[in-house]
Amino acid sequence: MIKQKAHAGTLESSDIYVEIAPAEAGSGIALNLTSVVMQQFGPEIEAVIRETLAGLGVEDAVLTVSDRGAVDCTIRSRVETAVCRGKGEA
Amino acid sequence: MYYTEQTEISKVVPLLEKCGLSMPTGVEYTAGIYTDNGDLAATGSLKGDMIQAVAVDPAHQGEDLMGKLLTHLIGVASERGLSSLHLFTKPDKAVQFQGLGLRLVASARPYAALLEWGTGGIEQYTDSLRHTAKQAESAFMAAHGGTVPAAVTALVMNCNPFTRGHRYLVEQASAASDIVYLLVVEEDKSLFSFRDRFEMVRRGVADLENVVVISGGRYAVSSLTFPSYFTREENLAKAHTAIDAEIFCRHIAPALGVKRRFLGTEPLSAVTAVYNETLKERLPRAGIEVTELDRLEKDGAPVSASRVRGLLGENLNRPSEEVLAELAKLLPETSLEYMKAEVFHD
Repeated sequence: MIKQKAHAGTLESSDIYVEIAPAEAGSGIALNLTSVVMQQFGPEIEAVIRETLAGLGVEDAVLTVSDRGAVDCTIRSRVETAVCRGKGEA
Repeated sequence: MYYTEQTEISKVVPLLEKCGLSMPTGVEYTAGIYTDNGDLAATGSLKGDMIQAVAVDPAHQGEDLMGKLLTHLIGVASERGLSSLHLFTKPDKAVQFQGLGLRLVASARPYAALLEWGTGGIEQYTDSLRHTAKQAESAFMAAHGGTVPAAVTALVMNCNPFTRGHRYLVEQASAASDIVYLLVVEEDKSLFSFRDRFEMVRRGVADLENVVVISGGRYAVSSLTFPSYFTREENLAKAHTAIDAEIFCRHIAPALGVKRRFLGTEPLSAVTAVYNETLKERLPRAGIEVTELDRLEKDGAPVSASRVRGLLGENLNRPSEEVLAELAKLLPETSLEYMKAEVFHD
Protein backbone atom coordinates (compact mmCIF):
# COMPACT_ATOMS: atom_id res chain seq x y z
CA MET A 1 0.00 0.00 0.00
CA ILE A 2 1.26 3.45 -0.97
CA LYS A 3 0.60 5.63 2.07
CA GLN A 4 2.19 8.93 1.08
CA LYS A 5 3.43 10.89 -1.89
CA ALA A 6 7.07 10.18 -2.64
CA HIS A 7 9.62 10.54 -5.41
CA ALA A 8 12.95 9.15 -6.56
CA GLY A 9 15.43 9.87 -9.32
CA THR A 10 16.20 13.11 -11.15
CA LEU A 11 15.39 14.92 -14.38
CA GLU A 12 19.03 14.68 -15.42
CA SER A 13 20.20 12.98 -18.60
CA SER A 14 20.19 9.14 -18.50
CA ASP A 15 18.05 9.19 -15.37
CA ILE A 16 14.33 8.93 -14.69
CA TYR A 17 12.18 10.87 -12.21
CA VAL A 18 9.43 8.84 -10.57
CA GLU A 19 6.74 10.40 -8.41
CA ILE A 20 4.20 8.14 -6.75
CA ALA A 21 1.02 9.04 -4.85
CA PRO A 22 -1.65 6.98 -3.09
CA ALA A 23 -4.83 5.99 -4.93
CA GLU A 24 -8.11 4.43 -3.84
CA ALA A 25 -8.20 0.66 -3.59
CA GLY A 26 -9.37 -0.84 -6.87
CA SER A 27 -8.50 2.23 -8.94
CA GLY A 28 -5.44 0.55 -10.48
CA ILE A 29 -2.22 2.14 -11.71
CA ALA A 30 -2.58 5.58 -13.31
CA LEU A 31 0.67 6.23 -15.14
CA ASN A 32 1.49 9.62 -16.59
CA LEU A 33 4.70 8.99 -18.57
CA THR A 34 6.81 11.33 -20.66
CA SER A 35 10.11 10.34 -22.22
CA VAL A 36 12.66 11.79 -24.62
CA VAL A 37 12.56 8.39 -26.32
CA MET A 38 8.80 7.94 -26.10
CA GLN A 39 8.38 6.95 -29.75
CA GLN A 40 11.06 4.27 -29.75
CA PHE A 41 10.82 2.93 -26.19
CA GLY A 42 7.62 4.26 -24.60
CA PRO A 43 5.84 0.89 -24.41
CA GLU A 44 8.98 -0.86 -23.05
CA ILE A 45 9.50 1.77 -20.34
CA GLU A 46 5.86 1.48 -19.33
CA ALA A 47 6.15 -2.33 -19.22
CA VAL A 48 9.25 -2.17 -16.97
CA ILE A 49 7.49 0.26 -14.61
CA ARG A 50 4.32 -1.84 -14.40
CA GLU A 51 6.27 -5.09 -13.88
CA THR A 52 8.31 -3.50 -11.11
CA LEU A 53 5.17 -2.21 -9.39
CA ALA A 54 3.48 -5.60 -9.68
CA GLY A 55 6.60 -7.29 -8.26
CA LEU A 56 6.38 -4.99 -5.23
CA GLY A 57 2.67 -5.69 -4.78
CA VAL A 58 1.56 -2.17 -5.70
CA GLU A 59 -1.91 -2.37 -7.26
CA ASP A 60 -3.24 1.16 -6.81
CA ALA A 61 -1.18 4.31 -7.32
CA VAL A 62 -0.87 7.52 -9.34
CA LEU A 63 2.53 7.95 -10.99
CA THR A 64 4.09 10.90 -12.77
CA VAL A 65 7.21 9.73 -14.55
CA SER A 66 9.67 11.70 -16.67
CA ASP A 67 12.35 9.68 -18.42
CA ARG A 68 15.50 11.07 -19.99
CA GLY A 69 16.84 7.92 -21.50
CA ALA A 70 17.37 5.75 -18.41
CA VAL A 71 18.35 2.09 -18.88
CA ASP A 72 16.07 -0.65 -17.50
CA CYS A 73 18.00 -1.25 -14.28
CA THR A 74 17.84 2.47 -13.48
CA ILE A 75 14.11 2.51 -14.16
CA ARG A 76 13.59 -0.49 -11.85
CA SER A 77 15.65 0.94 -9.03
CA ARG A 78 14.01 4.38 -9.20
CA VAL A 79 10.53 2.84 -9.15
CA GLU A 80 11.50 0.57 -6.27
CA THR A 81 12.92 3.48 -4.24
CA ALA A 82 9.84 5.62 -4.86
CA VAL A 83 7.60 2.74 -3.77
CA CYS A 84 9.63 2.11 -0.57
CA ARG A 85 9.41 5.81 0.30
CA GLY A 86 5.70 5.83 -0.55
CA LYS A 87 5.17 2.91 1.79
CA GLY A 88 7.12 4.74 4.48
CA GLU A 89 9.86 2.14 4.52
CA ALA A 90 12.73 4.38 3.47
CA MET B 1 28.45 22.26 -7.71
CA TYR B 2 26.15 22.64 -4.75
CA TYR B 3 22.73 23.89 -3.82
CA THR B 4 21.88 26.23 -1.07
CA GLU B 5 18.71 27.27 0.65
CA GLN B 6 20.41 30.63 1.27
CA THR B 7 20.65 31.71 -2.37
CA GLU B 8 22.08 35.22 -2.52
CA ILE B 9 19.63 37.56 -4.24
CA SER B 10 22.55 39.86 -5.03
CA LYS B 11 23.84 37.14 -7.35
CA VAL B 12 20.43 36.00 -8.65
CA VAL B 13 19.42 39.39 -10.08
CA PRO B 14 22.49 39.82 -12.34
CA LEU B 15 22.12 36.25 -13.62
CA LEU B 16 18.46 36.82 -14.49
CA GLU B 17 19.36 40.08 -16.22
CA LYS B 18 22.03 38.30 -18.22
CA CYS B 19 19.25 35.99 -19.46
CA GLY B 20 16.84 38.83 -20.25
CA LEU B 21 14.67 38.39 -17.14
CA SER B 22 14.06 40.41 -14.02
CA MET B 23 13.41 39.27 -10.45
CA PRO B 24 9.72 38.44 -9.96
CA THR B 25 7.90 39.79 -6.94
CA GLY B 26 6.62 37.66 -4.10
CA VAL B 27 8.54 34.44 -4.75
CA GLU B 28 8.42 32.00 -1.84
CA TYR B 29 11.53 29.98 -2.54
CA THR B 30 14.66 30.53 -4.61
CA ALA B 31 17.26 27.86 -5.37
CA GLY B 32 20.74 28.34 -6.79
CA ILE B 33 23.38 26.03 -8.18
CA TYR B 34 26.89 27.31 -7.51
CA THR B 35 30.24 26.42 -9.04
CA ASP B 36 33.02 25.30 -6.72
CA ASN B 37 34.47 28.81 -6.66
CA GLY B 38 31.15 30.33 -5.58
CA ASP B 39 29.72 31.67 -8.83
CA LEU B 40 25.99 31.29 -9.34
CA ALA B 41 25.53 29.06 -12.40
CA ALA B 42 21.76 28.50 -12.33
CA THR B 43 18.72 29.72 -10.44
CA GLY B 44 14.98 29.15 -10.22
CA SER B 45 12.12 30.12 -7.89
CA LEU B 46 8.74 28.95 -6.70
CA LYS B 47 5.69 31.15 -6.22
CA GLY B 48 2.57 29.21 -5.35
CA ASP B 49 2.24 26.56 -8.04
CA MET B 50 4.39 28.51 -10.50
CA ILE B 51 8.03 27.87 -11.34
CA GLN B 52 9.48 31.31 -12.08
CA ALA B 53 12.72 33.07 -12.91
CA VAL B 54 14.54 30.01 -14.19
CA ALA B 55 17.92 30.82 -15.70
CA VAL B 56 21.17 29.03 -16.50
CA ASP B 57 24.32 31.10 -17.07
CA PRO B 58 25.18 30.84 -20.79
CA ALA B 59 28.74 29.87 -19.75
CA HIS B 60 27.32 26.77 -18.06
CA GLN B 61 24.86 25.65 -20.69
CA GLY B 62 25.14 22.05 -21.87
CA GLU B 63 25.96 20.86 -18.34
CA ASP B 64 22.42 19.68 -17.69
CA LEU B 65 21.97 22.21 -14.87
CA MET B 66 18.33 22.75 -15.88
CA GLY B 67 17.59 19.09 -15.11
CA LYS B 68 19.25 19.41 -11.69
CA LEU B 69 17.46 22.66 -10.95
CA LEU B 70 13.98 21.44 -11.90
CA THR B 71 14.46 18.18 -10.00
CA HIS B 72 15.21 20.24 -6.92
CA LEU B 73 12.31 22.69 -7.39
CA ILE B 74 9.81 19.91 -8.12
CA GLY B 75 10.98 18.05 -5.01
CA VAL B 76 10.56 21.17 -2.83
CA ALA B 77 7.11 21.84 -4.32
CA SER B 78 6.13 18.22 -3.70
CA GLU B 79 7.16 18.49 -0.03
CA ARG B 80 4.93 21.56 0.15
CA GLY B 81 2.00 19.45 -1.01
CA LEU B 82 1.74 20.76 -4.58
CA SER B 83 0.73 18.12 -7.11
CA SER B 84 0.97 20.30 -10.22
CA LEU B 85 3.29 23.10 -11.28
CA HIS B 86 3.17 25.64 -14.10
CA LEU B 87 5.91 27.45 -15.94
CA PHE B 88 5.88 30.26 -18.52
CA THR B 89 8.72 30.58 -20.98
CA LYS B 90 9.44 31.95 -24.42
CA PRO B 91 7.90 29.80 -27.19
CA ASP B 92 11.32 28.85 -28.59
CA LYS B 93 12.48 27.58 -25.16
CA ALA B 94 9.43 25.37 -24.65
CA VAL B 95 11.02 22.37 -26.34
CA GLN B 96 13.87 22.37 -23.80
CA PHE B 97 11.38 22.02 -20.94
CA GLN B 98 9.36 19.43 -22.84
CA GLY B 99 12.57 17.43 -23.01
CA LEU B 100 12.60 17.44 -19.20
CA GLY B 101 9.11 15.98 -19.07
CA LEU B 102 6.96 19.08 -18.75
CA ARG B 103 3.86 19.11 -20.95
CA LEU B 104 3.08 22.00 -23.29
CA VAL B 105 -0.33 23.50 -22.50
CA ALA B 106 -0.25 26.27 -25.09
CA SER B 107 2.18 28.32 -27.09
CA ALA B 108 1.32 31.87 -28.16
CA ARG B 109 3.97 33.08 -30.56
CA PRO B 110 5.85 35.35 -30.27
CA TYR B 111 5.08 36.02 -26.61
CA ALA B 112 4.97 33.03 -24.32
CA ALA B 113 4.40 29.33 -23.82
CA LEU B 114 2.77 27.67 -20.82
CA LEU B 115 3.99 24.29 -19.60
CA GLU B 116 2.91 22.15 -16.69
CA TRP B 117 4.11 19.28 -14.55
CA GLY B 118 2.28 16.71 -12.46
CA THR B 119 -1.27 15.54 -12.05
CA GLY B 120 -4.53 17.49 -12.17
CA GLY B 121 -3.50 19.58 -15.15
CA ILE B 122 -5.30 20.72 -18.26
CA GLU B 123 -6.32 17.18 -19.21
CA GLN B 124 -8.22 16.66 -15.98
CA TYR B 125 -10.00 19.99 -16.52
CA THR B 126 -10.94 19.21 -20.13
CA ASP B 127 -12.18 15.76 -19.05
CA SER B 128 -14.61 17.48 -16.69
CA LEU B 129 -15.63 19.88 -19.48
CA ARG B 130 -16.33 16.95 -21.83
CA HIS B 131 -18.47 15.37 -19.14
CA THR B 132 -20.46 18.61 -18.70
CA ALA B 133 -20.85 18.97 -22.48
CA LYS B 134 -22.18 15.43 -22.83
CA GLN B 135 -24.87 16.09 -20.22
CA ALA B 136 -25.84 19.43 -21.78
CA GLU B 137 -26.09 17.85 -25.24
CA SER B 138 -28.25 14.99 -23.96
CA ALA B 139 -30.56 17.44 -22.19
CA PHE B 140 -30.88 19.53 -25.35
CA MET B 141 -31.64 16.49 -27.51
CA ALA B 142 -34.21 15.18 -25.04
CA ALA B 143 -35.98 18.54 -25.10
CA HIS B 144 -35.83 18.92 -28.90
CA GLY B 145 -36.93 15.53 -30.19
CA GLY B 146 -33.41 14.23 -30.77
CA THR B 147 -32.09 17.26 -32.68
CA VAL B 148 -28.33 17.68 -32.24
CA PRO B 149 -27.38 21.15 -30.89
CA ALA B 150 -25.79 23.22 -33.67
CA ALA B 151 -25.15 26.69 -32.24
CA VAL B 152 -22.91 25.89 -29.26
CA THR B 153 -21.35 29.02 -27.84
CA ALA B 154 -19.38 30.32 -24.86
CA LEU B 155 -18.99 33.41 -22.72
CA VAL B 156 -16.14 33.89 -20.24
CA MET B 157 -16.87 36.34 -17.44
CA ASN B 158 -15.53 37.34 -14.04
CA CYS B 159 -18.84 38.79 -12.81
CA ASN B 160 -17.44 40.71 -9.87
CA PRO B 161 -20.37 40.90 -9.13
CA PHE B 162 -23.07 39.70 -11.60
CA THR B 163 -24.84 42.84 -12.89
CA ARG B 164 -27.79 43.66 -15.13
CA GLY B 165 -25.11 44.31 -17.75
CA HIS B 166 -23.94 40.70 -17.54
CA ARG B 167 -27.51 39.51 -17.60
CA TYR B 168 -28.11 41.52 -20.78
CA LEU B 169 -25.11 39.87 -22.49
CA VAL B 170 -26.17 36.39 -21.42
CA GLU B 171 -29.73 36.99 -22.68
CA GLN B 172 -28.42 37.97 -26.12
CA ALA B 173 -26.11 34.94 -26.22
CA SER B 174 -28.91 32.66 -25.05
CA ALA B 175 -31.29 33.89 -27.76
CA ALA B 176 -28.69 33.21 -30.46
CA SER B 177 -27.59 29.74 -29.27
CA ASP B 178 -28.74 26.17 -28.73
CA ILE B 179 -26.37 25.85 -25.78
CA VAL B 180 -24.34 28.62 -24.08
CA TYR B 181 -21.49 27.70 -21.73
CA LEU B 182 -20.89 30.51 -19.29
CA LEU B 183 -17.41 30.12 -17.81
CA VAL B 184 -16.92 32.01 -14.57
CA VAL B 185 -13.30 32.99 -13.88
CA GLU B 186 -12.18 30.95 -10.92
CA GLU B 187 -9.19 32.90 -9.72
CA ASP B 188 -9.88 34.34 -6.29
CA LYS B 189 -8.40 37.81 -6.64
CA SER B 190 -11.59 39.80 -6.91
CA LEU B 191 -13.68 41.72 -4.37
CA PHE B 192 -16.22 38.90 -4.40
CA SER B 193 -14.98 35.35 -3.84
CA PHE B 194 -15.32 32.78 -6.60
CA ARG B 195 -18.00 31.01 -4.60
CA ASP B 196 -20.07 34.18 -4.30
CA ARG B 197 -19.56 35.19 -7.94
CA PHE B 198 -20.46 31.70 -9.16
CA GLU B 199 -23.57 31.57 -7.01
CA MET B 200 -24.79 35.01 -8.18
CA VAL B 201 -24.31 33.96 -11.81
CA ARG B 202 -26.07 30.65 -11.27
CA ARG B 203 -29.08 32.31 -9.65
CA GLY B 204 -29.04 35.17 -12.14
CA VAL B 205 -29.42 32.93 -15.20
CA ALA B 206 -31.41 30.04 -13.68
CA ASP B 207 -34.45 30.89 -15.84
CA LEU B 208 -32.45 30.62 -19.10
CA GLU B 209 -32.67 26.92 -19.86
CA ASN B 210 -29.93 26.73 -22.47
CA VAL B 211 -27.28 28.45 -20.32
CA VAL B 212 -24.84 26.15 -18.53
CA VAL B 213 -22.72 27.82 -15.84
CA ILE B 214 -19.31 26.25 -15.27
CA SER B 215 -16.09 27.07 -13.50
CA GLY B 216 -13.35 28.54 -15.67
CA GLY B 217 -10.87 26.36 -13.79
CA ARG B 218 -7.24 27.30 -13.54
CA TYR B 219 -7.08 28.15 -17.22
CA ALA B 220 -9.59 30.84 -18.12
CA VAL B 221 -8.21 34.37 -17.67
CA SER B 222 -5.67 34.04 -14.95
CA SER B 223 -4.15 37.45 -15.58
CA LEU B 224 -2.81 37.89 -12.11
CA THR B 225 -0.68 34.79 -12.13
CA PHE B 226 0.92 35.79 -15.38
CA PRO B 227 4.48 36.71 -14.46
CA SER B 228 5.13 40.33 -15.26
CA TYR B 229 8.88 39.92 -14.86
CA PHE B 230 8.92 37.81 -17.93
CA THR B 231 8.07 40.25 -20.65
CA ARG B 232 8.11 43.98 -21.16
CA GLU B 233 5.28 45.97 -19.63
CA GLU B 234 3.72 47.03 -22.95
CA ASN B 235 3.57 43.44 -24.13
CA LEU B 236 2.24 42.07 -20.87
CA ALA B 237 -1.47 42.36 -21.61
CA LYS B 238 -0.92 41.04 -25.14
CA ALA B 239 1.18 38.09 -23.96
CA HIS B 240 -1.26 37.06 -21.29
CA THR B 241 -4.32 37.36 -23.46
CA ALA B 242 -2.59 35.50 -26.29
CA ILE B 243 -1.93 32.53 -23.98
CA ASP B 244 -5.49 32.71 -22.74
CA ALA B 245 -6.79 32.70 -26.33
CA GLU B 246 -4.60 29.72 -27.28
CA ILE B 247 -5.77 27.71 -24.26
CA PHE B 248 -9.35 28.46 -25.21
CA CYS B 249 -8.77 27.39 -28.84
CA ARG B 250 -6.70 24.34 -28.12
CA HIS B 251 -8.39 22.90 -25.04
CA ILE B 252 -11.59 24.54 -23.81
CA ALA B 253 -13.50 25.05 -27.08
CA PRO B 254 -12.79 21.54 -28.45
CA ALA B 255 -13.79 19.90 -25.14
CA LEU B 256 -17.12 21.76 -25.09
CA GLY B 257 -17.71 21.68 -28.85
CA VAL B 258 -17.90 25.48 -28.89
CA LYS B 259 -17.96 27.18 -32.31
CA ARG B 260 -18.57 30.78 -31.30
CA ARG B 261 -17.50 32.98 -28.43
CA PHE B 262 -19.38 36.09 -27.36
CA LEU B 263 -17.58 39.13 -25.97
CA GLY B 264 -18.92 42.23 -24.34
CA THR B 265 -17.62 45.45 -25.88
CA GLU B 266 -15.51 47.29 -23.35
CA PRO B 267 -15.51 51.05 -23.66
CA LEU B 268 -13.95 51.69 -20.26
CA SER B 269 -10.98 49.35 -19.81
CA ALA B 270 -7.89 49.47 -22.01
CA VAL B 271 -6.82 45.98 -20.87
CA THR B 272 -10.17 44.47 -21.85
CA ALA B 273 -9.95 46.24 -25.21
CA VAL B 274 -6.56 44.56 -25.86
CA TYR B 275 -8.04 41.27 -24.69
CA ASN B 276 -10.94 41.52 -27.14
CA GLU B 277 -8.59 42.46 -30.01
CA THR B 278 -6.42 39.42 -29.28
CA LEU B 279 -9.40 37.07 -29.18
CA LYS B 280 -10.73 38.49 -32.45
CA GLU B 281 -7.34 37.86 -34.04
CA ARG B 282 -6.62 34.35 -32.71
CA LEU B 283 -9.96 32.54 -32.35
CA PRO B 284 -11.04 32.74 -36.01
CA ARG B 285 -7.71 31.11 -36.98
CA ALA B 286 -8.84 28.09 -34.96
CA GLY B 287 -12.26 28.11 -36.61
CA ILE B 288 -14.09 29.81 -33.73
CA GLU B 289 -16.25 32.80 -34.56
CA VAL B 290 -16.15 35.87 -32.33
CA THR B 291 -19.21 38.05 -31.86
CA GLU B 292 -19.16 41.26 -29.85
CA LEU B 293 -22.29 42.19 -27.96
CA ASP B 294 -23.28 45.70 -26.97
CA ARG B 295 -23.37 46.63 -23.32
CA LEU B 296 -26.41 47.76 -21.44
CA GLU B 297 -26.34 51.46 -20.58
CA LYS B 298 -28.08 53.29 -17.82
CA ASP B 299 -28.06 57.05 -17.25
CA GLY B 300 -25.62 57.48 -20.12
CA ALA B 301 -22.93 55.09 -18.85
CA PRO B 302 -22.42 51.33 -19.29
CA VAL B 303 -23.77 49.15 -16.50
CA SER B 304 -20.52 47.73 -15.21
CA ALA B 305 -19.32 45.76 -12.24
CA SER B 306 -16.79 48.48 -11.47
CA ARG B 307 -19.64 51.00 -11.00
CA VAL B 308 -21.21 48.57 -8.54
CA ARG B 309 -17.93 48.11 -6.67
CA GLY B 310 -17.55 51.89 -6.51
CA LEU B 311 -20.91 52.12 -4.73
CA LEU B 312 -20.14 49.25 -2.37
CA GLY B 313 -16.70 50.19 -1.13
CA GLU B 314 -13.99 47.72 -0.25
CA ASN B 315 -15.34 46.45 3.04
CA LEU B 316 -18.70 45.20 1.81
CA ASN B 317 -20.46 46.66 4.80
CA ARG B 318 -24.26 46.77 4.57
CA PRO B 319 -25.04 49.80 2.35
CA SER B 320 -27.48 52.58 3.23
CA GLU B 321 -31.01 52.57 1.78
CA GLU B 322 -29.95 55.26 -0.70
CA VAL B 323 -27.06 53.16 -2.00
CA LEU B 324 -29.26 50.07 -2.13
CA ALA B 325 -31.68 51.98 -4.35
CA GLU B 326 -28.78 52.88 -6.67
CA LEU B 327 -27.55 49.28 -6.64
CA ALA B 328 -31.00 48.01 -7.56
CA LYS B 329 -30.68 49.88 -10.87
CA LEU B 330 -27.45 48.06 -11.69
CA LEU B 331 -27.93 44.62 -10.15
CA PRO B 332 -30.57 42.00 -10.89
CA GLU B 333 -32.71 41.12 -7.89
CA THR B 334 -30.99 37.74 -7.60
CA SER B 335 -27.56 39.34 -7.04
CA LEU B 336 -28.86 41.92 -4.57
CA GLU B 337 -30.78 39.32 -2.55
CA TYR B 338 -27.71 37.08 -2.49
CA MET B 339 -25.51 39.91 -1.22
CA LYS B 340 -28.00 40.86 1.47
CA ALA B 341 -28.16 37.25 2.66
CA GLU B 342 -24.56 36.09 2.22
CA VAL B 343 -22.12 38.92 1.63
CA PHE B 344 -22.84 42.17 3.48
CA HIS B 345 -21.73 42.41 7.06
CA ASP B 346 -23.05 44.83 9.65
